[in-house]
Amino acid sequence: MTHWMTISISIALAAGLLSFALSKWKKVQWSLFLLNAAWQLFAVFQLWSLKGTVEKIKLPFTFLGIENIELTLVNSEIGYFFLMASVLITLIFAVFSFSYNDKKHATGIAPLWTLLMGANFALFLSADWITFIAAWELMGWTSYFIISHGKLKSAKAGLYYFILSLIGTSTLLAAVMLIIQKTGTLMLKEGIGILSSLWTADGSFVLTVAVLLTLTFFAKSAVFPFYMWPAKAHAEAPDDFSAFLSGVMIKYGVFGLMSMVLPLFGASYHGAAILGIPVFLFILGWIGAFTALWGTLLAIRENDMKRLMAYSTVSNIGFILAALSMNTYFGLAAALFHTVNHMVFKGGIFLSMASVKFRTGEREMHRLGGMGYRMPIAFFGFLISIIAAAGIPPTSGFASKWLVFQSLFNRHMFFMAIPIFLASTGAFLYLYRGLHSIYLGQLSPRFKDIKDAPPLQSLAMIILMLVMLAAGFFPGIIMGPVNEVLSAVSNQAVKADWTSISGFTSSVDLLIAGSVFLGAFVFAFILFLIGKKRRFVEMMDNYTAGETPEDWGLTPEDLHYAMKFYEPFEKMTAPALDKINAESWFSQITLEVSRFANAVKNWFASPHMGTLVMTLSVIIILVIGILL
Amino acid sequence: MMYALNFVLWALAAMAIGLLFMGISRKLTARLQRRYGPPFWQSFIDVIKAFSRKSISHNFIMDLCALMGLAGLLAAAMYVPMGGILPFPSDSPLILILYFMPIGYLGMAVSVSASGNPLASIGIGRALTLMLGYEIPFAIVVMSFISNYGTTNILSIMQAQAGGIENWHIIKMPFGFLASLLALEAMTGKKPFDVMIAPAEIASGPMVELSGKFLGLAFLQYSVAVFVETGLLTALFLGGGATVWEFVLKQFIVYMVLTLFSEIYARYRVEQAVRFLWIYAGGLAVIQLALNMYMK
Repeated sequence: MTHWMTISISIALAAGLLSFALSKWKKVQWSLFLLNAAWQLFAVFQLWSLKGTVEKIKLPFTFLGIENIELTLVNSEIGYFFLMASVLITLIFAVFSFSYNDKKHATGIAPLWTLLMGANFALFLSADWITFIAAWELMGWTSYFIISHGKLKSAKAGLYYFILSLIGTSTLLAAVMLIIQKTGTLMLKEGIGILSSLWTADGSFVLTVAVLLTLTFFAKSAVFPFYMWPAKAHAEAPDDFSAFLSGVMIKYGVFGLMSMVLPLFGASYHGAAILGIPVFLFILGWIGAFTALWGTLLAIRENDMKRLMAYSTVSNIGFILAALSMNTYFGLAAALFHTVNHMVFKGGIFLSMASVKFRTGEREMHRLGGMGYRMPIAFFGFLISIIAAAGIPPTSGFASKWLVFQSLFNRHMFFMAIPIFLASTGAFLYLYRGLHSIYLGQLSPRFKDIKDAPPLQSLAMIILMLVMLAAGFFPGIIMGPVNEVLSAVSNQAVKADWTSISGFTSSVDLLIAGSVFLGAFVFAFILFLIGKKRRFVEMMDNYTAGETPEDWGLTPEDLHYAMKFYEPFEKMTAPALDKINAESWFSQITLEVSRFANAVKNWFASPHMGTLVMTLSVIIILVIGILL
Repeated sequence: MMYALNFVLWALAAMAIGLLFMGISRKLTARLQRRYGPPFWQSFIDVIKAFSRKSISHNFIMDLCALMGLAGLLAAAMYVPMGGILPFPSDSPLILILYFMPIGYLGMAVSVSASGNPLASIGIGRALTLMLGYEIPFAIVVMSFISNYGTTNILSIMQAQAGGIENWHIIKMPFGFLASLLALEAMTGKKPFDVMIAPAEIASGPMVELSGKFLGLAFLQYSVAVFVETGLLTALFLGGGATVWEFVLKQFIVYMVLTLFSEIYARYRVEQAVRFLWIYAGGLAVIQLALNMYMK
């Protein structure tokens, strides 16, 4: 068997269509989705040894003067890396979803998600523009329908997402048309290659294409000024799909930037540069740093747990973008590493929150609290994930944050590192807030008898936890594949082995660091054992300055401090956040457009004005016609 | 085996030094207020007493994360080069310290908010906000070192200061030193940056629900934090120390300076504190970074 790629995509599409027909049997649909994910993983393992293979389908059409166009798939290094990561994580999500979509919580998104997995496969492996755009479109509309999933509030969020996607798709189409016309080839890599050598001949053209493509990928990856859609879409999407949306789908833009925009600024770039970085990428880097900061500040003041984590995703994309725009192999390594790391920890966070919502049905954080005492597995899933998100050893997060900073330091981008560092420290605030408000504090009597997540959901979370810890002690698990990509793309590799990574300013051995921490933990445990025994008391048995809360009619819910957790800080940042708010800019544009449209409508509604406008336009057209 | 022994020795030394500093600082404070004050070994007595009393816990999360809190700080203490020695050879102790310390604070935070007392959560909320205030200036100072030396190896930064007081970074990078001193004042939770403890207001904040050995663990955590934080400043700006004694003496001086500052200021509200740290400490740090980047 050789056509692994074509077959896998066809299977996903066929399974998706079949799944539509089986909408009565929800469990069958989800089994199909799970089977498809398992098959994709199998196919991806088969593709491991088939790097560089090309599969073609000839079509008898002519497009822009190119006869007999071919749909081409290629097993490229970057594409394979993303595909591998996304398929692996999706299988874990599929296990979770299988249990999540029971009678009470079923959403009917399985067929669409199966189709989306086909698009996912095609997107990362596409070698020509037509396949890429087709996959991009399929991904766009399936995800739109999934986000909407038949609820009015979700439909609004979905529409918002869809319109931003449309902006992205139109710029993509424009860019692709320009590229095909200029280069005369439909092939993606060749086209970009030819374009990147045109800097001296036609620099402004290449820059235009770069800007258009960047807009596309910014819209998809929610970079400033498109940073608002995750908060709506991630929050309103089905809970299990949010993990996929935040973990995998937001990375399509990163993939696009890596494989289409960065190669434009290769060795043959002849333009202005700042400290050796092309000005365009320098601006991109600052946008990334700003996105990281803004995402963090917005997340800090969010009370809805899914919106909070959506802003956190925006912030993490900022890290990736900043590292990427350094235009070095080290920056690429940092971006790839953080991409995988973000997939895993954000998956863990969203799955854990989904299982809390599965049990409680609550999304507002102040209405939860104390879940950790009843749902220990979900709690540990969340705890390990936020430790990874904050970049603390011994989890995978440390290596990835460290790589991001190393790539910035290598280019002497110290000032760019300041907002990123602020974002990275600010992450503690919102991550801790999530942990505290959902899992700690007082347990509401409403949730007194709640049980831990069902076995399959727990299994998915435990696997993610193990991955994070394993990659924390042995970063080589992720660094190995990253280095393979690097050696294929730039003939360079980060010096690393199973347990350690070397950067420019230092090298870290994470196995030793992790062991030191474990040793310290054992030491603390011995001290704990030496101390006199403790006894457990009720949660409400607290110090309250001598008063009994019951006398005042206070319930555990009243004693759960979760609303406006960082109010002093929120007050500090509010003026800036309100001033630089892309959403209000966009609504300003909407307002202006609708005002203009209304004015036009009114002209035609009133007979005098209508006649005047009509006559004027006819005259103008006539004059133009005569002149030409 | 050797490593385990090293570890235990280093951990005990860190805790003992921290507790000693805390005791002497209490004595100093008392004398400034014209009191006699407790003996300088009072902190040791406190810890031993705390461990020998019965305690209450609310759930397993509180137990587990209290251990995580001490463990994070102890792991950070392993990378403080007391007398130019590291028990665990490493190329990047500075980064590891900066990333191990938060795990200690996070552990403490989780532990006390699992107690369910709102006062503790308020305290933690303030502490984390304050952390945003002091980490930024300190990170900028660290970056100005990276800009100068291209390394985060604390041992080579110490070696660069060898040969006399004129080579110390306190002379060569005065703005950075002032910035980190301000950041350190906040890191150690001294006045005017003690809003997260604020005994009269939120009943000692994070510590409100701790008793017996939990309080003992918190004390030990604070003592190790004092050791690590003063150790950082000593190694980065005061030339480190050729011997353990020299190093500890310098740490001691740093901590006493912090204590003296603490006694002449009143408490900031948390947003005032963050603003102050960003504007003044951050400003000084940025000046230092710019100087290091462009005036080489």
